[in-house]
Amino acid sequence: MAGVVVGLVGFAVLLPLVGFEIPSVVLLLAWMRVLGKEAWGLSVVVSVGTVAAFYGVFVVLLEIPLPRLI
Amino acid sequence: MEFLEPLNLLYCLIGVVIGMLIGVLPGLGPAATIAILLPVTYGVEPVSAIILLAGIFYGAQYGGTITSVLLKLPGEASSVVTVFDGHALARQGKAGTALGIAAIGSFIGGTVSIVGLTLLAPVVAAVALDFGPPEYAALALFGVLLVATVGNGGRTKAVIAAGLGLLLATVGRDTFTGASRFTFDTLNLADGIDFVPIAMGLFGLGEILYNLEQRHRTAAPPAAVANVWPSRADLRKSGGAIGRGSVIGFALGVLPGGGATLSSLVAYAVEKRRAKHPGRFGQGAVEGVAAPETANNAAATSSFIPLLTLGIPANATMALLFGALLIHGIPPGPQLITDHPDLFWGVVNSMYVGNVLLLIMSIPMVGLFVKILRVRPAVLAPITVLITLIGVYTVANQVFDIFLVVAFGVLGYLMKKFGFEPGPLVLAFVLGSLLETAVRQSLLLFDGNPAGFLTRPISGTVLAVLLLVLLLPAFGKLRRRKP
Repeated sequence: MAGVVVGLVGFAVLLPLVGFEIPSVVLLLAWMRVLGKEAWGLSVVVSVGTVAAFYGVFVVLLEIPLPRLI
Repeated sequence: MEFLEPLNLLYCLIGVVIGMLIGVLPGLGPAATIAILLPVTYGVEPVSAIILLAGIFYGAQYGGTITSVLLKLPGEASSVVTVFDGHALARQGKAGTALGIAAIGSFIGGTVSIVGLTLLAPVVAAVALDFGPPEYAALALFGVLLVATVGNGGRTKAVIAAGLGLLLATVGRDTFTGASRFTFDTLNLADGIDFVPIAMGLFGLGEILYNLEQRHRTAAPPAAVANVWPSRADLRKSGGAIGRGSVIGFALGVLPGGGATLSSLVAYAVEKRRAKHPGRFGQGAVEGVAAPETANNAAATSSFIPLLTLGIPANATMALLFGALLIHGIPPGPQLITDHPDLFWGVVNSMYVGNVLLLIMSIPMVGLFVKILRVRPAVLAPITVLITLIGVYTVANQVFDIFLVVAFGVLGYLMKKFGFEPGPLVLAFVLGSLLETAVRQSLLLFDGNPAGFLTRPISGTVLAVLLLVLLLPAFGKLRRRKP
């Protein structure tokens, strides 16, 4: 529990500094690997795929000014 | 009154499909889903946004049935009683009958309730147009206290949660004097706490954090579904249950704190009491499926009445829709129907259509929805969390809101862990600012004399009823104590 909360706070701290892409991928990966004990392959595919989908929806489609790297 | 536009038809379809999906998934309820999707609806027209969110709410009532019957896992609290007879029927190889009856009952209950809404809402709103601040103060107080006392879970805990909600509503600059209250000298809190991070944190993130600790129940292999059309004998048997369920659901849905769960319990109990052979209940009685499923849908629909006519949300989900309306710049209240007829009639029309869509979808797509259950929570949870974190940021482009959502997520987790429902908190938070403004405006009106609340006929009556409701349980206890 404590670890999850630290991770979520870390996400909020990093978001304005390095953009949303890297913290998002790290959050998804860590959650699936550590909490879910999912396989590496699935975790990587789902994490990167989800963040790509978010990029498509929020940045390209809805044009919301999210802090981002790319 | 205009017909539903194609685009809104699409939003209605998306809403009811999402509703069914999350209804099937145990854990993530309609309140959590609506909270998480609030920011996503900012970009669309208010009518479309409310149609979508409303669809999720009543769609979830259909979805919850499927897992109750097939897997003995109620997807929603309002489908818990359906498990008794629904799963018993499934074990007898009559899962299709149970789902068919539930779908037909849900459709009839929902439609009866929309007709009631169509006829009743404009009348109630017309009466409420004469309401002034004292009446609103009385109604808001009524809403807060009734939800805290009638809602599910422990009464003391609900009152504590509601009290916390009222306190949170006071944060920010005082609108009458401009004094800062509980802002800790940060600008982030000067305008008060926004409703969205509270709702997303308590319902969305809180629920996910709580589920992390629960051992995931291994679901039994789903029963086969065949022959969804109920036989004529089954239909005849459940006809009365569907009729009574519609009325019970409609009536209880309108009451604050009533809603879908309570009405499903009451409808089941009524059928069991009326039955010639009550022993059949729990052994696969079709009425035991028809009654609660009809009632929960009727209640889900009629709980829109107090929101759309008085601007008073009857349950936690309605509190979220209240927030959604405010975000779109539409104050919920008696003026809503006259000032925004397109919104009111658009939403009402979408409900008629949505129920037809659900009836059509729920039967052939059962197999597909059951497959959703195979999606692992460890994959679904982090994606939902990410939607929450990024969604709350997009509301005002403020990192502070992400911290807030995490804080309220932890609060929501702790509340659930110690047996508190977040519903009364969110409802009291929404009603709190309404209550405060109304009370203070009234006191200005009365020159500071609080007796004015009692001498105005409507506010006086509401307060008298409120007192009666609060004292009734005490009388009951006194009577029981005497032999």
